Amino acid sequence: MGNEDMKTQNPAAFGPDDDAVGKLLGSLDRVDVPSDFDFRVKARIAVGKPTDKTAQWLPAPIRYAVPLILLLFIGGYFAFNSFHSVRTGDVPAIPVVQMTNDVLAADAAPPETIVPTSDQTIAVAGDERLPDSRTKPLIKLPEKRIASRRPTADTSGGGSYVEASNKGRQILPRGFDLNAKAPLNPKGLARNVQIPAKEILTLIGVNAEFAGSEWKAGSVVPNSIAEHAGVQSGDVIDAVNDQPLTEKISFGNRFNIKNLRVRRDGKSVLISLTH
Amino acid sequence: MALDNIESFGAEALRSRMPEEKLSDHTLIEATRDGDETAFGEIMARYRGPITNYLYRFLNDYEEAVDLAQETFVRVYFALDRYHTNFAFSTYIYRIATNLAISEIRRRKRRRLLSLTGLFQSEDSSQVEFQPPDKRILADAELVEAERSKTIGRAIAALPEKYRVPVILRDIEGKTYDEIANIMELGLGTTKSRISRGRGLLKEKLQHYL
Repeated sequence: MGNEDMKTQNPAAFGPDDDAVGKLLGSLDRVDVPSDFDFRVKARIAVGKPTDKTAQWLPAPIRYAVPLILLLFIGGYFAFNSFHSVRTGDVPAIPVVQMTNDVLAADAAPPETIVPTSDQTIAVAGDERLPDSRTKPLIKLPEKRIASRRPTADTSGGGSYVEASNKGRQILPRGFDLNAKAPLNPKGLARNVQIPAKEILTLIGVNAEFAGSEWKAGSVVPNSIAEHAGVQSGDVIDAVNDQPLTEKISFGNRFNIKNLRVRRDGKSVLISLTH
Repeated sequence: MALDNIESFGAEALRSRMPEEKLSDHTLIEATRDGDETAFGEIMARYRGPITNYLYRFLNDYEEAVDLAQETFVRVYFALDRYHTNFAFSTYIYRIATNLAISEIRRRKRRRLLSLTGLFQSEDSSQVEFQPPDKRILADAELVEAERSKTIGRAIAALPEKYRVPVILRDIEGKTYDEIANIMELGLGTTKSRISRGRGLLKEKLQHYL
C-alpha cells in the first residue's frame, strides 16, 4: 500500500529496490487493538490529566513552600543586616599597635591611635540624622601614611581597610608579633644579649665616649666600682680584661669584668677591679 | 498479539484514509470540546488502529504499543483546547504518538530494560544485527509467514529513529510525503532522503526476502 502515491509524487526518486522494500513492508499484517481499548482510555481520562512525572512524589504545597521559605530567610537576613548595620560612630577608636621586633619596646610604647581625616571617613556617609559629634569620624588614618600606602594596597580580597592598606600593620594583642623569627623565650633572650662597651663602662661607673679612636672617660660616678678602683676622669680606656676596646665591640652577658688598662698622662696603667 | 487480522487492517485503513466521508476530524473535535463524548469515541475509532499499528512497528512490542496508543489519546483529550485546526488532526496525533514512542525508547535505554523482543533494537546504526541463517526444514506456510513477519519487524525496529519514523509512516501507514514531513517537522527533501536511506538499510538486512 502507498507505493502508488510515492510514484506519483516523485517517480524518479527511488529505484526498484526501494519499491520492493516498500512492498515488503506494506505486506505486513496489521495488529488489531484490544477490545477494551476505548474503555481503558476513558478510564485514564477519568483518573485525570497526565502530569509531569518529575517531583510527583512531593506534595504540591511543599514543592512551593520550601523554596518560598528559603527565599524569605535569605531576604530577611539581608534586610536585617541593612537596617541594623553597625555605624562606625558607635564604635570606639581602635588602637593600632605598631609591632616591632623588639617586644619590650612595643610594650613600652603607648598604643598608636589613628586620628581622623576628611577623606578616610569610615562613618556612614550622608547620614544626616546623626549629631555632629557622631558624624565626626573617630577613626582617621594620617594622610602621610595613606599616601604611602595607596600604591601598595593589597586589594586581592577581604579584610578591613586597615589590613588592605597596609599588610604589616595588624591589630594584635600586646606582645604578639607575627614577624618574630622565633618564639620569645626570656632565657634565650638573656643568653644571647650582647652588651656594648659603653654600657659595660657605665655599669662600673665610667661615663665614657668614643672620641676619635679611643674611649675617653668623661666622668666617673662617685662611689662606683670604677672610682674605688682608681679610675679618673680623662683616662683613656685601652682594654678591658686585656681585650682592646674598639668602637663597636660588645661583650656577652656572662662577661665578668676584672681589670681595665687605661692611659693616663701618656702612661699605661692597669687597674684591677677585683679586690 | 494478533498479526493475522487482515480484516481489521483493511477496515481501519479505510477509516483513516477517508474520514471526510463522515464527519471531519475537526468537526468531531469541536463536538468533543462541547462535551460530546461520542465524538471523541469516533475519533478513537478512527485512529486507534493506525496509531497502535504504527507504535507497534516502531517499538516492536505490542503491549507497550497499546499502552502508548492509549496514552496518546489521553494526551489528545486533555490538549484539545490547545489544538489548532490549521493543520490536519492526523498529523497532530501521529506527532504525539511519535514523541511518546521516542521518549519510551529513551527511557528503556536509560533503564537498560531489554526485553527479548527488544533485544535487537538499537539506536546506533553501526551495530550489526545478529541474524544467523535459518537452516531448519520449512514447516507449513503459516509458520514461515510468522517468522518472516518477525524478522521484518525486528529489522524495522533496529533502524535508527530518524529513519524508522518516516519509513513506517510511508510504507506501513501509507502517509504522503507532505504528511510525513509535517509530522516530523522536516523539509520535504530531507523526509524523502531519510525514507530512501531507511529503505536502503532495510534492504541490506532483508535481502533474503526481496
